[in-house]
Amino acid sequence: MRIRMTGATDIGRKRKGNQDSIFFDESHGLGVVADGIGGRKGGEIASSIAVNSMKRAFQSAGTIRHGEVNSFLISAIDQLNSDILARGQVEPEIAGMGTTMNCLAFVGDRLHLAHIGDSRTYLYQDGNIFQLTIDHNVGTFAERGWLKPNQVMPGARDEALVKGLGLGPNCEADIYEFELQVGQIFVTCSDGLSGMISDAEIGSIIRKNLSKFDSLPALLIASANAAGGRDNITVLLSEVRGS
Amino acid sequence: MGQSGYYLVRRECREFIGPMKLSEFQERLGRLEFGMQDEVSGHCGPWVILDRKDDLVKAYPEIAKALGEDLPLSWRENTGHAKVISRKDQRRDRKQKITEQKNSRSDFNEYLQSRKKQSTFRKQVALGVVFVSFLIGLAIVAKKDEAPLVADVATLATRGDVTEFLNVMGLKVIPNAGRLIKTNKSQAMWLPYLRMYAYHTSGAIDGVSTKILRGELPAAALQDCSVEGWKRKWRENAGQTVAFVQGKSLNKNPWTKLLAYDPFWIRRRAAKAWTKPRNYYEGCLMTASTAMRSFSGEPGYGSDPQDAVTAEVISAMSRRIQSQLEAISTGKSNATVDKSNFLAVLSCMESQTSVAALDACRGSLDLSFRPLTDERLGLAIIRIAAAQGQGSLDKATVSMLEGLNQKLSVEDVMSRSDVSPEVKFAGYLLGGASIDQALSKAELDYADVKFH
Repeated sequence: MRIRMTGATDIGRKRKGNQDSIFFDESHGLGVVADGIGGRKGGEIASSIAVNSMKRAFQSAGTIRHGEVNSFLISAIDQLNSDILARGQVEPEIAGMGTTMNCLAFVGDRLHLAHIGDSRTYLYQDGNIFQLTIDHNVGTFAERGWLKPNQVMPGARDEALVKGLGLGPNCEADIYEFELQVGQIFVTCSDGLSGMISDAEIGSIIRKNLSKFDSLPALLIASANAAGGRDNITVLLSEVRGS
Repeated sequence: MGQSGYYLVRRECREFIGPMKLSEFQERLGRLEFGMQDEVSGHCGPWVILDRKDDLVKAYPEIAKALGEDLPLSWRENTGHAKVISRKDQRRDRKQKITEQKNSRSDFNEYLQSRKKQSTFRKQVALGVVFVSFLIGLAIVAKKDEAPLVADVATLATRGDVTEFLNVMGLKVIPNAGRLIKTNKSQAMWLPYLRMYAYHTSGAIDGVSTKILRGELPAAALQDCSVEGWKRKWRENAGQTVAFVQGKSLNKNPWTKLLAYDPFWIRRRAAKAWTKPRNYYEGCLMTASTAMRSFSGEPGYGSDPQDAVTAEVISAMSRRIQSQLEAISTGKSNATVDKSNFLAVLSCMESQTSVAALDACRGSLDLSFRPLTDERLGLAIIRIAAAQGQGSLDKATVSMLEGLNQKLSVEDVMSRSDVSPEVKFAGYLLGGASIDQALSKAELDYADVKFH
């Protein structure tokens, strides 16, 4: 199987800077989207550390066997979490910076997906769209019964993160595996996209523009901006093709 | 939601199956590729745990209807297991901790301030002379107590004097257990004996977290093996378990997972910092056995004379667990079984010492269940081959193993145990290696697994 990737990032219409970062490399089957935590200094640094650390980890790892990918992802994420914390220690003005991250590693006929925070990865297939990742925020956790009302900080908003990189020494990412089929498209995005347009709209834009794969990120970003563009918007699309 | 007719399943919060049509969904559920504790989503729809009937009816009525019609003993009968959520329950504690740290996008400055305040407070306290002296005193007392006592309990444990071991531990060690695991050194000394005590009694020790007791485990492993945990799981899953033991349905509730454990798989895996039990999985069987013994005195656990079916099932479960424990301990199983249900087939295969007799174990098992036993057949051949220790496999066995090798996945289908070492061993055999060569190679690859 071959993976074709395309992606883009945009500042949006309200923010003064872009704290999102994106990296993708078709030859290594690697895609990373990170969204620096807004309202904190250094969000853009944290997201940049995230994508660069994952990039370095994969590029220096050589061949990784199927059975080793998940443990590799876990240790790479632990390392990059430490990197973010360490950077905060030497530069106190950005201490406490944090970021979300979705890292997609395509190995053979499987996708290994590491997820932390509220950036999302969707699966688009035959007109259907499914959200694969679980948002690590108060609203979702409360809805799933993983948080009780007395465990939530008073006044915390539903979108407040409960997990992220750089937020503490213990960082537990969700790791998923997915058996690939030709024709699948994985849409990875920051909440600047998923917070502005619905899943159905994302699916619809992809369905209507399948023949213009390379233009899809720009089209999705334009829709999010048209809906208000309140946050930075980053989109990565990974399409599974026959070899 | 689900209007397009395609569904995706998220299995144990770590793997996706699909997308698939409803008919395929039913087939794959029937093949136990996922279970009722897993989640399903349709196009643009929410994720719903299959066990949560009300949510399922609301979001995907077509799935709820299909499940209601197809499962012989399903939640239709409301056995009270709606809260079983596999890994998610275990994650709660960790998530709670993180939330308590008040990490949020919107309140970061407030969060930083509160952390700074906490940090200053901690420094002041930590610098207090009284506190430091107290810690030093505690450490000295601990050191004085530990050295001779570890040797004492180690001797009792090695000698196999379990009653005396439990007495000494109960009187002298367990009241201070929380203190003994505070430092890495002390924990390393005491953990094997704390575990031995725990799994010979209630499966838990006050002051010692279950995570420390069980150690790092794969996500698919049973996570709560305390006696109380087993009793709770019985209350929640009695219907499913009874159906499984009677051979009426296959499911993956914790009791059925336990009953389906291959004892030889457990026996091969000696773990560091464990004595008796040799690893967590044997510990789970021991506490489950303890839990079952307590059923007889309590209402609602099959002790009611009118509940003869449940009582009979409990008795069969006890026999199964005893045969598993015996096989782990001795490397042999002498289970006497009828061959008509899945559990009996597993026991039968475990008791065979020749490849030729294995296939007969499947006897009159319902054809739809037979594919599930293929994998165990393969594992049994591997066990018997390894026990030979030398020589080569005969042609018939090689051919049988070749046929089954395709069906051996890296995970056992019922218990979700990682069987990749066994698969690797089979690969060496099929690649032409003699048994002793295959053993050497596989044991080099997997130092913690003892095949022979």
